[in-house]
Amino acid sequence: MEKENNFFTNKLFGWLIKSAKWYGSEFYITVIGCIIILAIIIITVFAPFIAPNNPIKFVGETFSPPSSEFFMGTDNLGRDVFSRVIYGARVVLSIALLSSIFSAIVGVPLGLLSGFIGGKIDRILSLIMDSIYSFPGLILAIAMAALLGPGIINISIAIAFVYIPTYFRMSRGHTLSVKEELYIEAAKSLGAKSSTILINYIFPNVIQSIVVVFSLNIADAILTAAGLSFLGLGIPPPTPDWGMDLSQGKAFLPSGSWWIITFPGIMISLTTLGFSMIGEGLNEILNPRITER
Amino acid sequence: MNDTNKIILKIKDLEVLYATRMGLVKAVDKVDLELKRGQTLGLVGESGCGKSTLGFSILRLIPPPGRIIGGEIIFDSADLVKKTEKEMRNIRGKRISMIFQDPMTCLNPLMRIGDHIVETILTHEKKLNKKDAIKIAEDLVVKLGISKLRLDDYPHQFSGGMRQRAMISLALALNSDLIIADEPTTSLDVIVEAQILDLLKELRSSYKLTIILITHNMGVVSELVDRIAIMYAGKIVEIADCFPLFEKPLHPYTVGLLKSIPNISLEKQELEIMPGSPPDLINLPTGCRFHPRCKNVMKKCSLYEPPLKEVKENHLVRCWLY
Amino acid sequence: MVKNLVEVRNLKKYFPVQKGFVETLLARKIDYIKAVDDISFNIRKGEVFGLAGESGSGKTTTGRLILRLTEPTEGKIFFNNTDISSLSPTEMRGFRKRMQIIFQDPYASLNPRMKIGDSIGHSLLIHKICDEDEKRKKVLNIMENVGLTPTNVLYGKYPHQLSGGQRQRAVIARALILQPDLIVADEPIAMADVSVRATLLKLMIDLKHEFNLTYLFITHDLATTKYICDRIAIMYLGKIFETGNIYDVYSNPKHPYTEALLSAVPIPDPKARRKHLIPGGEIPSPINPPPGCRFHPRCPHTMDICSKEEPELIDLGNNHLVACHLK
Repeated sequence: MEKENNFFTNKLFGWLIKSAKWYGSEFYITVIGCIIILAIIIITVFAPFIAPNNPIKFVGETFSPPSSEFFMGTDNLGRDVFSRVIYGARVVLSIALLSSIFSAIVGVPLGLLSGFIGGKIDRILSLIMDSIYSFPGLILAIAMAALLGPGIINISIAIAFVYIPTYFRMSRGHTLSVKEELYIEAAKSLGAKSSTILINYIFPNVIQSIVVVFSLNIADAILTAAGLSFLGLGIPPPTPDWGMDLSQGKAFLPSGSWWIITFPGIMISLTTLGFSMIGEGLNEILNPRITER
Repeated sequence: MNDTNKIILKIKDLEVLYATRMGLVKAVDKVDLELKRGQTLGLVGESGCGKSTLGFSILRLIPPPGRIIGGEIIFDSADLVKKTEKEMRNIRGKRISMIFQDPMTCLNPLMRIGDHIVETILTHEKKLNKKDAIKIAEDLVVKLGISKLRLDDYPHQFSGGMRQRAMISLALALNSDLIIADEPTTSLDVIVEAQILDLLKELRSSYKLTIILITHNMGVVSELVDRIAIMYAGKIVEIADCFPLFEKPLHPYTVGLLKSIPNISLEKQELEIMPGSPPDLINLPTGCRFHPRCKNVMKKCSLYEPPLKEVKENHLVRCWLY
Repeated sequence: MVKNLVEVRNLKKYFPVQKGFVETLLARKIDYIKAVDDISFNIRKGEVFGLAGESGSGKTTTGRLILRLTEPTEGKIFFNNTDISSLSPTEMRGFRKRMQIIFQDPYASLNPRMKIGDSIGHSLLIHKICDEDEKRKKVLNIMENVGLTPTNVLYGKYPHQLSGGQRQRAVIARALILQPDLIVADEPIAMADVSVRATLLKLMIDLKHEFNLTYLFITHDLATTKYICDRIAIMYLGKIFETGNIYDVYSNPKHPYTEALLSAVPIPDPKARRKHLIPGGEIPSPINPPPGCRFHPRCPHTMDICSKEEPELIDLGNNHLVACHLK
């Protein structure tokens, strides 16, 4: 058993070193991003074991600064900030992931079809998407959130709505360029139907750039989600949520209680950074600017 | 000064290395070459054999991540490898100029053809004024078969052949001592290719040009050059004068190459097949780089690298057969 | 009597010229690029028919028209006596099994996200000829035929992991797997390394005998056509200038343009250095081709009639046709 374990770690490290040599700095960026996100995911999953206190119970005095008992201090209601930060990751991550998945599910197929079919359908869809795109993201999300009401799913849909055009434009643009490739013509000459060409030839060549957009998009969605709850349109209290904590904590900053907003703030930045790093790194690896042949 | 037969360019042990993601690529590996004034040298090889890199390294214009890691390029008794970037700038265009495969990429699309030539002249000849430069440019293009009136045109208004003529006029504008032509006719159609080759032939005698012609096309070299160097996987495998080389090629690669090209002047022809394909420069075969594809392979070939040996007068071969 | 596999009758293809917005408003009529302008020829069963010409002569468009990869503006194409130019796309799909194309750039014509084996065998699944297991067997078989060995290893590779020659072999295998009658080869060896070209040419000839193929060989290289083709047509600005069997056209070219083309081909032998008989100028724009004979502004033998009347193809015997007023 021990031996087998060793074998796998050796293999993993060997692969890491080889890939690092192959891809250079982009690889390190991706790996660091992955480590950050992995850590946050572990925290989310094992929150009940990691968090020392119940995040919505009053466990101590109000406004106590970081100490050995409360690692990140307590807030205005005497709740443990550290526990709230850990549980808060759950809300933020699920909203970000859900909204990105929703918008990809809607945006990518629409973009593929629009680019592939072309003509009037393409023009109408592009017009709709461009008009959505022309709204400032946060304002559109606020409007949607106000319309749909609170709740994780509703917030996710509201945010997803904002990002549909991003996926649409991306996949439509790639479809348009892949459509002109010689291998598409080759497939036609083999007698392939349009649906076969779309599924077997265009989609696999478009999806790799979507992966990049996806991880950058999650980073963006986290910021929007935090923004929404900061404005009071997020998950209703007392559920721990970084954006909401930030907004409630800001009132106590002038009186010197810096810890209430600092730690949720750092977590938002760190998560965004992690996903951005994965996205940028993958972008360099999957679509190298200088192709060596 | 009558200096024909004087050696104008001497390359010694030149090594160029590309550090790529896949590994280190030695595109040019210990190449020795000599060129006399007035001579036309053909540098022949397949894609990826290092012939273009060799051409670029003479001008010290190797695209990154490539760089020269050893050897000397003696041009007119000075080592170009040791020159500073500023000194090189004075040499490029004035003493050594280059003609590229695709002239469109080397001409500024927003600049008139005439201005390209005038500018080149003015940058290097500080004494001349603009009027003189325009006069020189006009005389030059007429000799190259471009009408004076077309100097006011932009590059996109020129056809492929005309653009290549314009490129040649840029190279001739300053009476360069050495012209490096990298696949100058590859992107052109057959008839235009023949026109440009005829033009180069004519200019070579009237201007006493020294040319390095880099190409993969055996037909093109046989039309034009005095001496041929055959490159394979970063090494020169055979150098000889044009006639003896085509008459009796010695290296198995050259032999195979010549027998594998369809020749329009032959009535009936059996093409000979060379197995395999050129090696990947990262995973080179041991010993002689050609041995996995060679018909006459011996035990020795896979173990030791053969030296470049003078087999006949002026005929050097890198092969254990000789 | 030899049977014709393909008959092309008065084929035309005009592409409208894309213009800027203002120009569209001002111009009364649309300009057309006359890529292929009224050509007729036959390809006999079992022969290699060469289509040669410079870039802009319309040879590639002709090849794509025969496969109906673009729609003809006018004219008819008969494949085995069926008029395929009037078939619906669905009907055409059935015919695609019998005609295949090999493109110039093998790298661009292979899907980069598909394994080589799947690329080669995909058409079997498209036409529902067999299932996945049998596909693998058939693909491995055809890979053996075109020399893509070791077949088991290369089956699972992606296009970027192969060498240029191997990729072209894969493209040839893909064209062959449906056992077509006709293969249109559009500059199939132009991108290959010089030392690999002969191998590919020989392979194509061997496969022709093995699979009873007919080739339409499109190229600008007249030395290669001489080696591989049985008959040839010389194209210039969308027109056929001369056609006939290889021996007649090469030993006794009747059109001044054919003569010029043949004399311009570089010969890999310095003893054969010669003065080229080449016309000045370059191929003009196909939007407004010269009136009369399209070659007359560059022709060394031009006469009065050349600029006024377009010459017809005249049979000089032995199926050697030429379009020139000199004859």
